[in-house]
Amino acid sequence: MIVKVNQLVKRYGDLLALDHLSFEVKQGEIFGLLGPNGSGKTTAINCILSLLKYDKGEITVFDKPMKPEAYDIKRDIGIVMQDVAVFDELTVYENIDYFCGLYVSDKKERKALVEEAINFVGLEAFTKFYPKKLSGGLLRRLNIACGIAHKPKLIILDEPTVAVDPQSRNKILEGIVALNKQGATIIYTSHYMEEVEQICSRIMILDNGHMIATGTKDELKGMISLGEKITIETFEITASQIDAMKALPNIISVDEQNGVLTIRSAKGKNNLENVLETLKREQVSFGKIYSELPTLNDVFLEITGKALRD
Amino acid sequence: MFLHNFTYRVKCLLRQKSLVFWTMIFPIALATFFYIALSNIRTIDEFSPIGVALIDNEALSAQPAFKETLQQLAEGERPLFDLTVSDESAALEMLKDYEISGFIKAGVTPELVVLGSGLNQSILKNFLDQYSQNAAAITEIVSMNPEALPALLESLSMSQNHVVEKGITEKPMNPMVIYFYALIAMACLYGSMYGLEEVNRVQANLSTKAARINIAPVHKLKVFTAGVLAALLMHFSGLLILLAYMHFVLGVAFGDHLIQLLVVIFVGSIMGISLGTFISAVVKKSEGVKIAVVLVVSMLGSFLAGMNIAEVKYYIAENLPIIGYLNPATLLSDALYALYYYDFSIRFFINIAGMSLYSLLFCTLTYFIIRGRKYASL
Repeated sequence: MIVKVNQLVKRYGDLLALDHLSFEVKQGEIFGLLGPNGSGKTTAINCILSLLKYDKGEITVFDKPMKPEAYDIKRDIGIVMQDVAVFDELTVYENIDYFCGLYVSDKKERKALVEEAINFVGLEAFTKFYPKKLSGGLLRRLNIACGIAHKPKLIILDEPTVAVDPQSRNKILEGIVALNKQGATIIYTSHYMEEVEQICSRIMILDNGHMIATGTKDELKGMISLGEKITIETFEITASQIDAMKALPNIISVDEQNGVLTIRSAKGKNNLENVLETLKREQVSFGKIYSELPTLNDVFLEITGKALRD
Repeated sequence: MFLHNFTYRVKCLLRQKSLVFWTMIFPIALATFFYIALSNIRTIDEFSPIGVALIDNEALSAQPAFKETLQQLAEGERPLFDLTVSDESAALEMLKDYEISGFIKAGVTPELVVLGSGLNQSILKNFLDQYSQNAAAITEIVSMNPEALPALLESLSMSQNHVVEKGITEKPMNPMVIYFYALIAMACLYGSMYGLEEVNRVQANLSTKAARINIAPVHKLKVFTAGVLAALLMHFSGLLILLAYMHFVLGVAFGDHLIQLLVVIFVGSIMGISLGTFISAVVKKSEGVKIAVVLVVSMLGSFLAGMNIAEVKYYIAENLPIIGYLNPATLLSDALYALYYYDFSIRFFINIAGMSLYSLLFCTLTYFIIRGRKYASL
């Protein structure tokens, strides 16, 4: 096991930030920590890194207890902080070299690693730039390079795509998958469910310091009753027509707002076909109709009763 | 690892413009300002010979002793008069052009012509009054009692000053050095900025860079030590530049003890940096507040050491000596003062010991505050 967290409790005064949190991260996976802001993701990460004191629980990394002086463990960990953590007075190259130098003493080896990291994040043209001259996206890439240059076996990325343009976000996500393919185990925290769905092999959903669900994305979606969500943009719809929809099999709920009909149905066959037939039979005129499978937000909504982005 | 941290810290500190400004450029600018302001005061204190013209006429030819007396007062290392012998119209022109303070026409009673009143004019009048008084006394005694003349002349030449000026040091007294020494003390205490920066860099609850360093497989106190030594190198170099500028460009005197002078600056630099680490560790506020505290401590300390008003230093020494002993800036400026005036006096060593104790105290307290490697919150 790469990381094992057992019954972790962390309090900030009266606030219970982590409530008996337990989870494991296996070798070679991209483990996603998904939850809204303030759910305890970063606190959990800081406890794993032995930066934060915690009230109760055990943490092992690479099957050894994690402590501040556990240098043999730390040597194989790379961290990409939520806030960009680089020196404004050093150039791109110097920043990566400085942080890599905290892990690798040999100059020649370090030079090769730094150059590799620069190529990996695509900052070849910016090596002599100071961080203030970089765009937000490039700065995030530098932040990543500083965390991964020493080729760690475990990489922890804490919301690495916050305030990043789509192009840089894609580049970052592709890079994370590439690092994983090269053999690194990844812990990825985010409140963007699309990102987590896109790259994570296993996901834990956190809310108010509690683990509310864990599994692959399919396993998580399988935990909820919702199977399909059908949205119809009607021109006009009556109460009796809505009642006809509600009478269909597998229907969980039908909501209408400003002519937009949202039908949530349980798992089952022919849901969309049944809806279309009813629309035709009831002579409901409509513009667009589309069907969506459940998202992680639906999982979160069904378990907690609130949307992930709240 | 040490060299890696040290080298990068020097690079960072050198490129940090605000730090370079406060610790190097600002003290140099302030020293230049002091020099300009104090130059005017020095000029006021210096005595310039009084320009005076002596009218060349028949009466003057009849009184060679008068002319000779004036000529003697216009000679020597510190002449009283800048004497010109000319005709009356030329003297009047010079007077109107303010080239001279007045002109004298010889006669039974010498006549002084001036355009206004002032110190120079008063001196000229006093001189003429005293000369006329002595000349009249001699004339009268010669006519009444010629035998008394030798005794009179002897008594006139026996004018003596019964007060002997004896300095506490053989060095020329220069009250201006207090301002510059207090300025150096302030520059040393500005090293607090470096100390503040170094603590911010290793305390994970103060900066994200520090968090990243704490996660690395290296003890944060090793990183901290390398940073503090880099800061010391930078700060000490800055102070040497300041000293060199003060001495070679502004002509500020520091005495003849270069090694001891460097010891004062070195210990002062350590004290300044350690003060900053302590303030940064103990003040649980934002970086801006910490910088404000550092500036207030440095400026207030230097003010009490006499940087702005030299009399403050004397007042505290006489009325509140405990503040003088407790003020790091006073210890520092006083060490320089003692070195300049008294060479190796006990006063110099007391000041150095006080500064060393302060440094030790600040370092120890900082260590106990920042040694923890896990934080209650980030």
